[in-house]
Amino acid sequence: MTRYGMVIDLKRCYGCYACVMSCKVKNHTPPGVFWARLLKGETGTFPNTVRQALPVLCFQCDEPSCLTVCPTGATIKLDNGIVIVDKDKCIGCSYCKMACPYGARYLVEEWQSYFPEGLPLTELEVMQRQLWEEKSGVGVSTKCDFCRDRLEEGRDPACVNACPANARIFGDLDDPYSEPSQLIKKSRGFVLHPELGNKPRVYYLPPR
Amino acid sequence: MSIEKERQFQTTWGGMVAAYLFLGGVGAGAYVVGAVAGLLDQGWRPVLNAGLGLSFPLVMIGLVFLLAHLGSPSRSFLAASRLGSSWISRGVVIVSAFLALAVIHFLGQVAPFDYVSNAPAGSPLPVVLSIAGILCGLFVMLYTGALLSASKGYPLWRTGVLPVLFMVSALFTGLLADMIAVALADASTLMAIQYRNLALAGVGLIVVELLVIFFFLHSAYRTDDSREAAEAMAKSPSFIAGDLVAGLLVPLVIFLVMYFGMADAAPKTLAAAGIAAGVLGLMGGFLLRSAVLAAGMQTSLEAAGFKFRTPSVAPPREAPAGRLPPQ
Repeated sequence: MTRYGMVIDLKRCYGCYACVMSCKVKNHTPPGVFWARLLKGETGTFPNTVRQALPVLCFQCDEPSCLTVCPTGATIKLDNGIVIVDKDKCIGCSYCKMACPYGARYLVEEWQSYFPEGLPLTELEVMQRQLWEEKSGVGVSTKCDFCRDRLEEGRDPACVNACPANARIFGDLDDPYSEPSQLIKKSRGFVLHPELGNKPRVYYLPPR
Repeated sequence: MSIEKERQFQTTWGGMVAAYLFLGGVGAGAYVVGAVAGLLDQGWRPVLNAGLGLSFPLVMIGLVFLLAHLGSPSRSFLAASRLGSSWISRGVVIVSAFLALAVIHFLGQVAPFDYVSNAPAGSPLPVVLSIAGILCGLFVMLYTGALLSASKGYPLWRTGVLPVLFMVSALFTGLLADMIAVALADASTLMAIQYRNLALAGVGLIVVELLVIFFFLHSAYRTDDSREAAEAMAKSPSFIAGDLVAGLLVPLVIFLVMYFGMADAAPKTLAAAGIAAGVLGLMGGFLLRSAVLAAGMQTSLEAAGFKFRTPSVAPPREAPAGRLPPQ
């Protein structure tokens, strides 16, 4: 059985935000909502400092704490490993947002304009809001779903497709011979906060 | 880019949730204090009546705040679907059971039903009902803390001390609510010694709450993230001035004066002092919950020796001057 997962090679990622932007374009996420995010860390003391980018998205955990706390059963773990939200069951309590240690959840009450307060939505924004509301709903929790619709068409998630450095490798983690499985094995792949027991399905390869 | 900036305090669970946690706690606390007083002696009947009269409306008002907080309140009836794992689902059952018992007990105390107050001598009904209600009330108080302590993303809250803190605070604020209700309804229904005993119980609860607050903050020193959040909470003016000083220390002084310095005072004088302490203490109880919520900082992400701050919301954007969106 295919169970999707992702490997992000921190040696290759140089923090260009292409993944962030491609996710926003593909999923029509409102301002302030980043299903794909990019964090930047810094270590050392000037002038001997090193910066590192860390792309983050929903890790589609095998033991998702968002699913555990969801009071309505709106959060569902699919057989292919992807965690989704049933917008018709979600009550918008934000408990999943509080429970996710990776900050992958967003609750959107209203699709607001990208432009300054008081200005009406542009034609393009109205269209985006409509697409967003059809897919994700209003007043409910939302999250990355590995671009499930693209996967059904046999394509990779938008962020994987957009990465110019090939830092994201997507595939079947249940197949020990798949590219991501091999990379995890050979290049010391690790997950964030393993001690929390969420068992994320997004692995990182060390930057050096 | 704004998304790489410093981590921020959570704002998702704000005033509405704080009001729910507070009112749920006060309502349950008022019932428990009243029911315990009712089990002691007939002379404590006014406190029992106050507890029974306050518990249902306070918890219901709290639920209104909770519903107002939900993104899709019309589907809230689905909230009890996952009793096995979700504290919200468990809370629905616990609060419903508590409300049902509070109503049954209240109706049994008042005419024309009065099946509890007029129960035949030796009938176990009042005791059984009180004990069942007290247990449910204690579960409601603990649940308000357990709700937060099950949140994996917020290390400050992930401690077993939090449910205990909210329970002690709920008992204290419940006592204050009962005292205010009795004093405002008819201050002369309690004797001076009873007011002084309530003050002594208040002193005990304040001392325990101060200790539990200390343990809560001390327990936060287990990780960098929780320590940072605890320090932010301990330094916040609303917590120091509102909860610690006005909500706990001032009522402590008032209660000590009531017990040790007002031995000859009339019930009405003691009731007035109780109201003053009660109003401050209730305000402190709300500010305590607000401070705990406001100090929620998400777990930072660490990888390969780097620490990455996780913003919970994007910072406000500057409006570009003199530019209009393309139409």
